[in-house]
Amino acid sequence: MRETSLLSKCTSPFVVKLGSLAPALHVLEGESCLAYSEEFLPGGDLKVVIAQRLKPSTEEVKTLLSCLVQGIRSLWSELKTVHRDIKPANIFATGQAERPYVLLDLGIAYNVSEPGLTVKPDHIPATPLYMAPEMLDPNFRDTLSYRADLYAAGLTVFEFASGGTHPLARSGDDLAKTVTRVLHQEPKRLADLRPDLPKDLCGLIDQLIKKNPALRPGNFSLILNQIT
Amino acid sequence: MEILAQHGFGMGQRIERGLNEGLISGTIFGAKDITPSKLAETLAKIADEHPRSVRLLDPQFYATMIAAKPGSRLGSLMGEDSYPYFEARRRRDLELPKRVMDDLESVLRFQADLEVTGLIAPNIVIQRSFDSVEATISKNFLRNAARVRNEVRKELPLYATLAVSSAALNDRIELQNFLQEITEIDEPPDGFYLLLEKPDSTIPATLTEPDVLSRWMLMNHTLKLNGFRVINGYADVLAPYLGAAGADSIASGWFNTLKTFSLKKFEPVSDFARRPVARYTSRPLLKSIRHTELHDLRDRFPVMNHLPCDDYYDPENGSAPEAMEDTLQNWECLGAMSDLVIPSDIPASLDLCRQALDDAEELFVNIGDYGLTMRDRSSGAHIDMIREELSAFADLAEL
Repeated sequence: MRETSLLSKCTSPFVVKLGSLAPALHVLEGESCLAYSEEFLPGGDLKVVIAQRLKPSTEEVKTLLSCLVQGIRSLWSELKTVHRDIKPANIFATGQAERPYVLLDLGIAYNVSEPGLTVKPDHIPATPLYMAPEMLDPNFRDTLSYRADLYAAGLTVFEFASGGTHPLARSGDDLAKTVTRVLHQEPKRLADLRPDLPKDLCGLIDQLIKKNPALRPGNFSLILNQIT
Repeated sequence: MEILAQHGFGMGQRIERGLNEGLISGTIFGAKDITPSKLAETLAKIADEHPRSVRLLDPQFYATMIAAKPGSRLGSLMGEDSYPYFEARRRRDLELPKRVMDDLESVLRFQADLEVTGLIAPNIVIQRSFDSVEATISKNFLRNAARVRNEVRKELPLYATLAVSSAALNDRIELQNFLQEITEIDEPPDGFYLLLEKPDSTIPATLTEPDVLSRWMLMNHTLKLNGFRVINGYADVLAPYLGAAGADSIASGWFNTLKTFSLKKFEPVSDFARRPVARYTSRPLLKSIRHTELHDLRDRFPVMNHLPCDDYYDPENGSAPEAMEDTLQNWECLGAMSDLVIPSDIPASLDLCRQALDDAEELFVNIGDYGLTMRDRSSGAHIDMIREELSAFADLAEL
């Protein structure tokens, strides 16, 4: 219900919309389930694009970053909501000029002004490799904000811009190693992998993946001005 | 990086000369030491003669919590021809959001009628911790300042006072959380007027206390990268390090009480004030020394700046400057220290600062080897500490 409510309220073109099938409760094998539809989008997810290991142009990098920042801004300013699961697999590359990238899957999105964020002790919500370090703190609700989404967006754009290199990940890492890297490892620098990209753009993306949330630029207008 | 005059008692012709000689970019007036009528007159005169200069008023609202103490030194803040916004406040008064809004309005409305180039919002000092009632009150001032400014005089930039005691910087996590919170304010100010409060106003405590300078630098860096202009009051010779971290402006005045911020100057007198000894701020030493020390050193060691204000220190006169000329020389040297700051390139600026510290250390060692002993306030004992603080800052800023 939470997800459909958010999808219906968020006005950003860079966040997926509900489809024509109205949300409705159905009983399946004795369990009550909510069925709903999302709009049809052409294209495919960004994970597939990144897997092609292409080196995108400056404009392509800026476009992706701009779409994600605008989507995050809408979720926060309109709904005080943190997406919490931004990653390449949850971003749709549509190929459309007016909304080239669209954020999907608000399944674990969290409205900071509402109660009821449930966490199972044996389950980490979100995807560890894209989780902001502060989300691994048991008391993260005290400080969680859109900056956690900016972090995940920064990682995603880094991966896209670098042609598939995650700034922290190593192949074969288990969960414990991944978490350790998220918390403690200094990320790679984008300019080292893409020296042909503008220094300021690389610097901005590097700044978005700082471990201390306060060090990530928090002013949406400023970020968007830097991109354009 | 701009150098501003931190105004206080005994202004004389200092600010006028500083502006005329191009040593300062403007002034932050302190309400305690000038009556409202004299302030209005002085601001109008400066605006006329130096229209592009920075002109701000520190309303010194933070002294409101001390105002009820018998014997507190409030100067023009209270009494005849005093500031209409200033009254004694208790913490419990300011816990009420309505009181905060009213105080914001009265302080900003007062400034709005003056020839200022920006408004400084009132606040209290966070003395113990960022997880305290004081911090909550402070955040209420920060959150609401822009909203009130928009009703009062929208076209002027607003600088929110953020005053913090060195003790409150002890908890790194609380500091980071606080910085996160204030950089996510819905209606943010245009900039911050940062004040680091120290338990006394003698030797800048940031030169000797671990983790203070690095965390003050972190505050500058965090605010700057979030798009705010950052003005550091009472910063003096910490200018290059704060500039390296992103500060836009630093202010310094003529007495110790204008080079280091302390609430002590508003409290009842506990000891006698001493007549200040004229000092010389040495760019090679990154510190100020007594004029008598300069006299002993100047022919043997390269401690002089070779800038125009050096002429005020005539060796024929024991290298003693005339009254107020040491203030001009200090501003000139702080401006020269700005060459250690490369705008928007923090790592390069830190490297320059480290190199300058190495050079200063070598100079202090040579002076010591020669057999000259510097007074505590003039010695090189701070250099290792600053070097460590720069490293600590680089870690905190994840550079």
